[in-house]
Amino acid sequence: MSAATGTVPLPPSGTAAVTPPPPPPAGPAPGRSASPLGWLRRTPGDLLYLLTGLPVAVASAVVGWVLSSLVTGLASTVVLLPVALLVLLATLACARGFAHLERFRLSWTGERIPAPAPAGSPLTPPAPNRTGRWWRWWDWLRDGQLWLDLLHGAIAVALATLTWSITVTWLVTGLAGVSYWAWGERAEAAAGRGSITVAGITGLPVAGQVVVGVVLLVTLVPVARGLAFAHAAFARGTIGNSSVRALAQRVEVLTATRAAASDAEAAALRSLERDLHDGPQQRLVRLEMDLAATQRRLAAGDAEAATSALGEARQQAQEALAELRALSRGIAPPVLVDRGLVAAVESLASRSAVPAVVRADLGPSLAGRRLPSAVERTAYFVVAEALTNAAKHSGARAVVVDLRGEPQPEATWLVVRVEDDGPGGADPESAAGTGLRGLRARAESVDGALTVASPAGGPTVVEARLPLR
Amino acid sequence: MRVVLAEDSVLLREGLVRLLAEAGHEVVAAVGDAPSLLLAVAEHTPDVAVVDVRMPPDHTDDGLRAAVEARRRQPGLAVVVLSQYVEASYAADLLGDGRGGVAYLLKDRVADLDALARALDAVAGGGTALDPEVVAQLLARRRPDDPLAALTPREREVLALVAEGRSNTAIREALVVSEGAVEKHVANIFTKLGLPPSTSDHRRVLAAVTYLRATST
Repeated sequence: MSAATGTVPLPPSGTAAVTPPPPPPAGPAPGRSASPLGWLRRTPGDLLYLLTGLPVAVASAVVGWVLSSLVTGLASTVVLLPVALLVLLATLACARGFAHLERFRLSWTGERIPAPAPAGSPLTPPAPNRTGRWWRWWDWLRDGQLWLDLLHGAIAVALATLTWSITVTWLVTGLAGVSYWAWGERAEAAAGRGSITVAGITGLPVAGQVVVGVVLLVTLVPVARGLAFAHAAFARGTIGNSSVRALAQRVEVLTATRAAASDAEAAALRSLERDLHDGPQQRLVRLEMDLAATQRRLAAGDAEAATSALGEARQQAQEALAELRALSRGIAPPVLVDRGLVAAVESLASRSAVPAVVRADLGPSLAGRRLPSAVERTAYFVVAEALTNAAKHSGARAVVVDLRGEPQPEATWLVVRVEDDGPGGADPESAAGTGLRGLRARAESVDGALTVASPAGGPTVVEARLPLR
Repeated sequence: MRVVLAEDSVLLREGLVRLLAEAGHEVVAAVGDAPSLLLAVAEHTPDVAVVDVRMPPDHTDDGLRAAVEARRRQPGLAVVVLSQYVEASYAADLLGDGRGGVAYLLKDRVADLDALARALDAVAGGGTALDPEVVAQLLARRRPDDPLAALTPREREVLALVAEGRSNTAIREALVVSEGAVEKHVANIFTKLGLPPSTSDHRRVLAAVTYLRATST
């Protein structure tokens, strides 16, 4: 990854490091008032949607039909099969485009149709041996959603023809009725009595025509709402993110993050074992040797040599204790368990090799409250790793650690930000980034995200965003 | 001195009982959890309580909380708090009542009979002894407009020793300088940090630690 990139890419071609939790499954129409007044407010949007519906649907259907026919035609000749495939992909791409447009147009009516996530979500990258263009195209073809987009285009044109006709008739007749007093008499005089009708009713007095017009315009409000609702319901079933699909995606995300988290845990345990082996275990072996030497020297009556060997033995014991202390801090820091995140981060900062300032502003909803332990631990280790990296690699002279509570509608987020004043250019994909990758897995396992920004010239910013539920 | 000992590890409890006896102190009770510590202190009214931080029932900082509570119930009780870890925020709890007679040390330090004896003598005399690691943590904390920046490196060294509870004589020995030089450094530090000058050892420690804590928040 080039040093200037903003986010940690997810392997191999992921686009987003930030993976917000999927929106809740689409429910019925969103929470606008269902009262007649609420409907009246939505009428302009409904009408705009319905009146533009037919041209859009026709365009969508024409493009779909033409391209599909082309595919069938091309596919009948074997040598043209690859071309047919390309055209098919183009067809599907168009269908997706029209599906986007449809969702956008429906937003005018106040109907929110959550878009389904594209196939191959960033958290479930294809197998390493299945990357490359052809596999990507194959994944496209297998994505059921694209075929549903195409199906929507084909059927929507029929629905749109019907709803467009109803809307136009209702609207035009209503307008004609209420304005009859202005043009009716003259028109009938010119064309002959009884030749002009409004809503198929002839011979009504002017007042009667106007009343019919008013009735039609008033009823247009629920009619337009109903027609738009029908479109929305159809869209929700085809190009929307159904609750089943949303759940499937959630399962996919959970499976992937769980696997990543357990990988990270396994890696952490391996490194812990290595540290135990290289550190305290060796010290204790040496201690044992020193004690045996002392014993031999005492047996030989050499008290002076025994004293010096004992001194060395105590030294080894001290070192072993210090190493064990450092190791336990890395597993489950007691101050985190006892005192919570802010105290633990302050303790980390006070031990940091690079001078570190802690700014904690958790906001009224979080201050003084213990956070979920998984979040506390993740946040703590993000800070620990970032401080270690700043000391080891960055050449920084100062680090600022920010702990912030960020209230959002769906959850309050804990934002942990560690910024150093080093020269930047840190690469989380390099060997030195192993720790950061493990932390990213950890953050994702609690539905959070970790980003690293380290442009050449600095500063390096490690930021974790963790939701609190 | 009459000592109540609270330590949940039997291995260490026996070791400490032996060490305390060797140092010439009488262990009137040796218990293994925080509630028993409070009971033992109420029953024996000892001079000193030697307390481990992490103990049953919660296995968090039970011992520390019990020590603070015991001092509330029996003012004048000196405590020596021992732990596998030292944290500046724990020291703040112990020093919170501002009365001195508190030591907070890593367990490794008291393996040495002299160190244990020194800590007991200090707290029994109303003094204060903080582990060098705690002091280092306090000194390391910064804020953007750091008043510690005004101190010379030598003065920072002296401040650290003051916070550990050393007397001017001990500081003179540790830094190999003259008594007059130490007095001058201490006076400079207190002036630079705006602290009231004080000769009593534990007042000095409290002043220094209160100052360091204030700068960390």
